Amino acid sequence: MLRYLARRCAYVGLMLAGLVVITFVIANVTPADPAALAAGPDATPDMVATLRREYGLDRPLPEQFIRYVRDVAQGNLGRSIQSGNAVTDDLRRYVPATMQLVILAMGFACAVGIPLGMLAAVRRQSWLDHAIRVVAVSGVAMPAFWIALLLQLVVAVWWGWLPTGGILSISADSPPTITGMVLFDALLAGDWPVFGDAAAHAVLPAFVLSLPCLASVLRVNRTEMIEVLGSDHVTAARAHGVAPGRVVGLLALKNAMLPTLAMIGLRFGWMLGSTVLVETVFDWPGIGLYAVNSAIASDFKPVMGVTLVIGVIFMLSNLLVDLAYGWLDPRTRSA
Amino acid sequence: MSMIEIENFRLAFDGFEGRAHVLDGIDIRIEAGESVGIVGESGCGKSVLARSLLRLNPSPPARVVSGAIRFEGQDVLAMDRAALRRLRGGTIGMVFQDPVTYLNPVFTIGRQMEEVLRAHEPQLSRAARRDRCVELLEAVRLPQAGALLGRYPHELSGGMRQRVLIAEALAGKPRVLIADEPTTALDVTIQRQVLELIADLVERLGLTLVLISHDLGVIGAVCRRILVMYAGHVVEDAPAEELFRAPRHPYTRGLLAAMPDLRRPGHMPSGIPGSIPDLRTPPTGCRFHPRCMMAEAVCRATKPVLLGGDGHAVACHMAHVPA
Amino acid sequence: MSEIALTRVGRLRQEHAGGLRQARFFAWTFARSPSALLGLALVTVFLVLTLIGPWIVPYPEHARGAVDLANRLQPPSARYWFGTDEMGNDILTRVIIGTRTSFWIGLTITGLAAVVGVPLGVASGYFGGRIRSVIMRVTDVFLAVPGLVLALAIVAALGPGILHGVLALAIVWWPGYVRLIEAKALTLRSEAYVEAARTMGASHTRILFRHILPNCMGPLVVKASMDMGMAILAAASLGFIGLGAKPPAPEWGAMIATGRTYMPDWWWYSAFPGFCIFLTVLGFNLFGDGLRDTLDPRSSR
Repeated sequence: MLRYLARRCAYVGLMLAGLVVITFVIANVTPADPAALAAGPDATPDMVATLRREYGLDRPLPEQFIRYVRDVAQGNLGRSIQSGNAVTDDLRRYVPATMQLVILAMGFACAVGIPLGMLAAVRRQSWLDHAIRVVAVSGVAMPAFWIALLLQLVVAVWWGWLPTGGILSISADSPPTITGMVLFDALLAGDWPVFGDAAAHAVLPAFVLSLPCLASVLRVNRTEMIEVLGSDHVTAARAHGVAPGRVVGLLALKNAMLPTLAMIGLRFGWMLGSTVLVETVFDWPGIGLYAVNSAIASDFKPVMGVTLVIGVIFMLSNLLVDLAYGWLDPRTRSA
Repeated sequence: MSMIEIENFRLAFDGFEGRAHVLDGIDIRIEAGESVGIVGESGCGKSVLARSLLRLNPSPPARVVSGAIRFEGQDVLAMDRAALRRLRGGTIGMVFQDPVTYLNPVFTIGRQMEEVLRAHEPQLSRAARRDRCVELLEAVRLPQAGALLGRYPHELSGGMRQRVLIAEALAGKPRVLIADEPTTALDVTIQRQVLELIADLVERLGLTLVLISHDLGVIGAVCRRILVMYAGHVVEDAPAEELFRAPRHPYTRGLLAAMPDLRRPGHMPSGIPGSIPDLRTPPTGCRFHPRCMMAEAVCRATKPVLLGGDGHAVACHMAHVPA
Repeated sequence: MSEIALTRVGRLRQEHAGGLRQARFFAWTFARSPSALLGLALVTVFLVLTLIGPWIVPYPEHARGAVDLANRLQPPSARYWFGTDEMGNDILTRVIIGTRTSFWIGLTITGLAAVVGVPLGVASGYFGGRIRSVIMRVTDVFLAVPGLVLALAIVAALGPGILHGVLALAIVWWPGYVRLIEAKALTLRSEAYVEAARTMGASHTRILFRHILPNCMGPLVVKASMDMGMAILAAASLGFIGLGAKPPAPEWGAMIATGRTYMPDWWWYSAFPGFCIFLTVLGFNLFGDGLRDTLDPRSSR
């Protein structure tokens, strides 16, 4: 098992290296002149040239690459033109907000999708088949930004049940920073008013974010459960008199979880990408919004920084999924 | 009242392209303590019949058309869920054909067996359950039973897996053992060991045995009484010795002739011409008549009934005609 | 029995009897799924609008961006089914025109991705070894970053605009095709008939074109159908954040972005184009799903 882990970690390291290369390539493919942009619209050619030298943009490409790798390794991701801060500082501020959304969304999707999928597999009917398929495909087909806008319109504006955006009300005090995630910090500190406020703000964005994942998990789990429930070893368990509840909920589910887990891993990546859209609509101060605002302003460093961070998060999650796979399915361990 | 009574049992499968009449009027009585073998080609319905005893056929495609199945007087088909669960594994244990697919791949052997024990003896503590598992594994002659509990099915050989399946079937202390092609997926050398094991267990535990196979040799080695099935019917029912010595049904004779005889090297066994019928449109009258040498008009017209007074019953209009 | 002279059609029918039967079987299987039929219907509507959209719009002058300020921001009514935008243009008209834009966006992205991805996938799966290692590593790196984020980064570097958006998305999409085709080619390589062809001395090219590629068509078509929808969605997403098509281009995502500034009072501006995106993507996804079940039915259906 440990060897498996070591191999996977080494692979992740390789992927990270590749990612660094790609971000470098992208940053250098730009037709725009980063020095000119950094200098601003009123800069003289001299100022631009100075900046170019400072950024090392006049050096040959391989040297620039080495400089870049060294910077990234030291945690220096550059400076944002818009905010003036170091990108790493900005990221440190925004990553927890995004993680909060993602954790909530993923948790909700699994907590609802897996049991519902099991239930739908046990109560099998052909009309349910097609209904669930349409629902599941809809969840994936629905433009996140559109449903976000609609929910914002109906639930927040017309009905006034929930706030329209932001992570906390302006009037609310931030809870003490433990995890950096406002909702969980308030929970840990026992600060119920702030917790309620944070929760109210998080409902809509987390829900929108969870939809594609929920729909897919529901569908995959149902399909896999149906298949496993028809398998020989389940028949054998039934023949031996094992209670139906345990047959479905334990013996069958563990088998069905393997592909479900793979789907969760896949949809997690999707979810990370969708934060860009959802945070924009709900004005959520996370790395998605940060990336969008920077991209529109042609501020590259933050965009590259966000790309790297999201890439790393996704790679780690894939590693986790692989490990979980190995733990769930003993056959892969020997492979 | 016999232990197992199957009365005029008809079962059909509603499939894609029509309804297949898989079991068409089965009448069987099995007494306690008997060792009965059911033999027939693939597709004759013997596995479906065995599963029907425990209501294991999935109910949307499978449909009981008519008839009854009774165990010690109780109607199996009408049993409520709780009684059925007690029956399964607790009274009637079942061993399946292919241990690769019949063992749950993601759970250890010990865990799977514990689940069965949990269902039938919920009061046992964890330690007691574990001990019982070891006991069961030793009963099926598996060495190092303790270590085996922590293994996964894919780490075991075919023979070992089959023994685990037998152990699982016996975990609930059943009085009847149904073995559905228990040796078919095994190597020939292992087959013999497993058969001996089954025979030994049946004798030691005083079980009633129903052994199902397409291999007459396997059946003959263990069973005292043999039922021959063809296309959803029981066509012959006789004590084993008599069946081998003087078979009365043309199909049985064909089966026996098809067995290779090592005592006559160079002698090619003869096959039975034709193939099994499509059960969606089975032949009229006797289902075997299209392949039968001795078929007459009556065979096409009327379905023969299983008759025979001297413990040797046969379903054939031409039974009185010598071979 | 006398020989009956067969007409040319008759002979053709006989020659291709097997293929015809298979095609009929596929159609029959496909038609048995209501969700697949729904998908087909939606895709058909989409394609019809793409083809003849400009000729059937209720307000052709609005398609070319005529200004009618007297009727700006009108709510949905019998006159303007989807309401009007800030220029007074009928939103339904603009949405229908946008169908064409979406179509070529989706087609270009999917087409480019497939053209690059399929050969690489085939090479990787069939030849294996070093080639496979390299190709798989590279695709894995691309797949390590979620698509939208990578596309965002590329467009940020290249500059906003619909062409850059399409290019960025194509770059994001091709690894998926490599993965799919590579897996298929790998299994095909060890099929008995391929081995037989090798032993008979068939060249790699011949095997690739006669055996491997045709058998990859199934999963490829399924993926391409579903990708059409997803690519349109991704492009609209980029348009929404302001990095894809720029208004007043009739691209659905850009429309929603503009419409957002008029929320909540003039909500129809964002609501209807979004609904059309949804229907389009839903249609392609259901269709692709239905295709998948037709070409490879699983026992658990």
